[in-house]
Amino acid sequence: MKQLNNLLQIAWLYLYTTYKDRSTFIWGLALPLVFTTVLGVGIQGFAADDEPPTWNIAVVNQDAGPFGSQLIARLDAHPSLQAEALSQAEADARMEDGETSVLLQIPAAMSSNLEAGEPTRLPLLTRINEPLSAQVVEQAVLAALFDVSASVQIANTSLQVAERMDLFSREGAPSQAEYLQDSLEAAQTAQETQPITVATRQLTRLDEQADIPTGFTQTSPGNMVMFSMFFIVYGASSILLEREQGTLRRLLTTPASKLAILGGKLLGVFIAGVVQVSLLVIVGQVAFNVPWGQSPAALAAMIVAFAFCITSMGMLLAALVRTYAQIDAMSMMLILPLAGLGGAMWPIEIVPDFMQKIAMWLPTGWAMRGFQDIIIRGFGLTEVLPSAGMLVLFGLVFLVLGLWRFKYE
Amino acid sequence: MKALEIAFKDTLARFRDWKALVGMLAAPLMISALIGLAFGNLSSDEAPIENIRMALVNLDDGELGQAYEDVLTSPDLQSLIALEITEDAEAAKARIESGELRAVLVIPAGFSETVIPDNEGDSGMASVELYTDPAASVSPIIVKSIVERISASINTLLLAGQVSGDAIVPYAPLLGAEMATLGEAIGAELQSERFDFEELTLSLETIATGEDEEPFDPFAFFIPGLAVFFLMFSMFEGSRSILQEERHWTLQRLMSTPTPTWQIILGKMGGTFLTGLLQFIVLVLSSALLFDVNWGNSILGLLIIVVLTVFAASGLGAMLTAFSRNENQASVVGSAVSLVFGALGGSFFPTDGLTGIINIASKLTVNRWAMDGLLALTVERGGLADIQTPAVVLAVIGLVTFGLALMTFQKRFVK
Amino acid sequence: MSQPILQAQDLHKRYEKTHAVQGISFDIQQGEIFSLLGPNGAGKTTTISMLSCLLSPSEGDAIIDGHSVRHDADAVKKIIGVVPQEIALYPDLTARENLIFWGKMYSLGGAHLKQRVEETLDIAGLSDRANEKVESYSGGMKRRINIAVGLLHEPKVLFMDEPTVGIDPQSRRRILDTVLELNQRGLTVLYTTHYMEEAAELSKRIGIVDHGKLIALGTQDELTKLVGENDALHIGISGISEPPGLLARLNALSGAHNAAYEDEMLLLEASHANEQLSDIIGAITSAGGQVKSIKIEEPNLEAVFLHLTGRALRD
Repeated sequence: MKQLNNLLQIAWLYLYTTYKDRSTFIWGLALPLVFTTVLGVGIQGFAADDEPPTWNIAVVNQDAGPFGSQLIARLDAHPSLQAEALSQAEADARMEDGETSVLLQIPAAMSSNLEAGEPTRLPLLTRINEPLSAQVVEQAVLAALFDVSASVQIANTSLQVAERMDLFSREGAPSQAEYLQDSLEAAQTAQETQPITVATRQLTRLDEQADIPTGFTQTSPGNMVMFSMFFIVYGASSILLEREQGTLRRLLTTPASKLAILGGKLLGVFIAGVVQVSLLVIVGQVAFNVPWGQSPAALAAMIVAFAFCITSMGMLLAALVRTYAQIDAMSMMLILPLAGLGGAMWPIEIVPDFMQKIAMWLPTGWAMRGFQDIIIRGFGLTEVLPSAGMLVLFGLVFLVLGLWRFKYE
Repeated sequence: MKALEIAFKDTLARFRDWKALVGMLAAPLMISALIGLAFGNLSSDEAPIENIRMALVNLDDGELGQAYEDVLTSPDLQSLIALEITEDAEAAKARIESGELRAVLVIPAGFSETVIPDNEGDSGMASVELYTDPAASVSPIIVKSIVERISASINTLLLAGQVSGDAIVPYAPLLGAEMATLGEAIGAELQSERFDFEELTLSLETIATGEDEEPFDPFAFFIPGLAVFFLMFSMFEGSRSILQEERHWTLQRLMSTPTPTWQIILGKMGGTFLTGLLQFIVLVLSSALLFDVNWGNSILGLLIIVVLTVFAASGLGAMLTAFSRNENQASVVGSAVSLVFGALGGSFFPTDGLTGIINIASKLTVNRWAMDGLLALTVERGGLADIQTPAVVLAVIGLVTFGLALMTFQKRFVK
Repeated sequence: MSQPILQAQDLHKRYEKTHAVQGISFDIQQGEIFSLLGPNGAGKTTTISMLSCLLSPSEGDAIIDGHSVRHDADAVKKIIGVVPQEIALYPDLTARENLIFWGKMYSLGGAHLKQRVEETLDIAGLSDRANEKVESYSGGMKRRINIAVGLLHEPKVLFMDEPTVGIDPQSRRRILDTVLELNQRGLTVLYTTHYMEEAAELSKRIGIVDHGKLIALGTQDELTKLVGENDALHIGISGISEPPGLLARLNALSGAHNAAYEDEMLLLEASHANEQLSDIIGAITSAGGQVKSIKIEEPNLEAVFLHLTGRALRD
């Protein structure tokens, strides 16, 4: 009982000194906030929500036939594209100024080639510095090209069926050209009602999936994980500072047991860590509309497991480095790669397979997964338990190693 | 010149301290290596995403369901899609939630029967269901467009049949009894024309523009960004050393020697500048060697931008330190400014897309102008003409901040 | 008597809220070790800072070898060597690198600098470890290099500000010996300390500083005479609930003065301590106190300080 009281006293002292220091708020709150905002805005290039970004596409149409203008109309109808027909000079100038980043050239022979069933290659010039966006634009242009050539193919099929039935040798039959033209018009009308549609649905348990701002579902948990790690690891390593200042030795001369001393310290760090993560969760919810709050139980489980895991990691680091002065450098060497590999710096989805596998061997990988499962998939307590459990497991291993290796003197 | 001696002494001491070297060199190189591992595939000509794990649940026993399966397993898509075929839609959807799959395509039972016209030529409409992983943002777009293209080519076949029939109906009197063979004729024609969706008559030739422009190289963007970001940290830390010297009394001891105060201050600021310059040069050289980063074609241009960037960053560091009440405040302000400037100034993502107030804020940072200058050389392969504006802005920032710092320190230390 | 090498003339230093040095004057003769003795915060460092041109005096001036610290700082800086209380060295540089750097700050160079570096390393007794980083040195070794830096340019006057703070007795002994040896070679030293024994051992003339004022100045004999024949008593007591009452009663005893109480320690002077002891103990017991220890000291500088200020000379 007495030891418990000692432990609580030591924890309280840590919390008191931490929150008396103004820089705690700069590191713990202000900076993550700025980072989340700026990176959230910046990363939205990856976004694929209901209002996808649109690209201006300049089209130089050298084709006098019917299909050139048809293609432009179809491009413009695509939700991701805004097409504008320009002269070659105008288009080049816009590309040069960076006003537009995509330029499609329609060769003069496209219409005649289409009618003759000959292939045509259309040059698409991109200067998008981001290959992922370029990929999306390319897909959209391909879809428009497909629609145009499909209408021609439908009309050609129709013509060939008529030929197969020997229509044109008969009295009163239309010319082949007329028939083809009629078929083409019919094809375009028919294309408006496609027999097969694709119903796409994001698989989430959240009700308002449309409102999830994509950039922030990455940066809100990402920055939370990274900054909290710095915050908590620094906190835990302050035990080294106590060792160097001699206050640890003095504590050891009191009746407080070693367990109460370290336990108290770690409890303080853990509580401050929980407060820290919770603050950033609230900020994410209120300022960026990230749906953190849909399952408080799941969220609480993840926060507690994460704070425990990182507190233990800080303890282990404190046990492994020799002096407090090394903490700055060592924590940077530890936390930055953990954050990067675990998916806190960029979406884990876009890295190669083996890197995605590495993430599952790191506490940060499980933290990001658990937190994102809550805000993206709408998971509840039962579903996040595996992630939280992994964090607790990591935490226990770190804690045991840390306590075993820590040198009191 | 005693200022030079002080500058050399500071630089030597800084490069002796392994803890400082971690922040100055090891951390940026390590993150660069990480980014290389993570995004290395972006720089090649291949698509950035591959092996998208998806499942096909084909409940249709007709030919159209089979058509989806055929295309998704075709050799062309092999590297892009890692497909597995299963029958349990619910289990497959659960595996999206567990992160094992990015997408599940469900072809409903009776799909072919619904959309293929019966003997009377009547047909209905149907949907295939595509479930995607909300935690992924890019691969679902890709899967969706593939499924849409398969659907579109089947639609084209179906519409071709429909249009062929509709177009000939007005001429039925001319054909008389032969109209009865229409279905057969359409079937035969579709069979012979059965388009493969790869065989588009219109195809794209995608060209990344600029005659001398190379494909996007993530290193050419990220490494200058990281170098500038970590430079700011070390410049702020270096500038703070004057306050540290005051605390350790070496500054007072310096002032008790026959050395003019302005030389001491200039020496301290010069030491920070020299440290930053060496740091940046080491980062340029080691990244060129380790990661094959191309720092552009203009060595002179690079040198100018690097020198001016370090000048502006060390000047800013000195000024903020001069205005700080104490070392602790300088440290907090310095780290905060480094981080915020890094985020705003384009050390982490391109600033091209920034607009409005964020863009204005971005232009108030040293990082932004340094990045504008560096990227003009590394990404855009520009020359001296392309770095004029950033060079001038950086020089002005440097001169103003250095001047203010010198004056403030002088006032502060002469008592 | 020859012209003093250093004359401090009514030095004052005022800050916004404090008056750190309130008119200090003293002379130092060529070849002398002069000590300023006083508790921490008495104004010793501020005085040395003014003499070494780090702070400009609010009033007064000091003339060092004919140069005014106010008007001719550059000339003064060349004459003086300064050993600050702090270890004012660069921990990441080796001892030799530190010495070379500081030598350059005194415009030394070339062979002369090399020679001086070796000589001062020798004085510090660290020639064999000169290429190790100062960071790795013990406290005493750092102190010795700290002094060596002050000697590099062969100053006429060396200012040493508490050069023995926080080190072990052996290292302190060594430093005191070094100071004496340097002095024998003709170096004039201004030494500040709050250790009475150091001042007593090193210097003939001592100035006692308290609260920014020079409260006494003279040879050790002259100073101890100020206390008269009085002995100093240090009595450890406990159980005193009302110190002022006890002090009044003690001062009322004939032959006892300047009673002071601090931290369960009673200090007072008595003309014949042995004879008055029973009265003193009686007074303590009747005030409810218990005597735990008694120490009687013949008149010394400690007693002088007590006599002049009513407080003990300690940190």
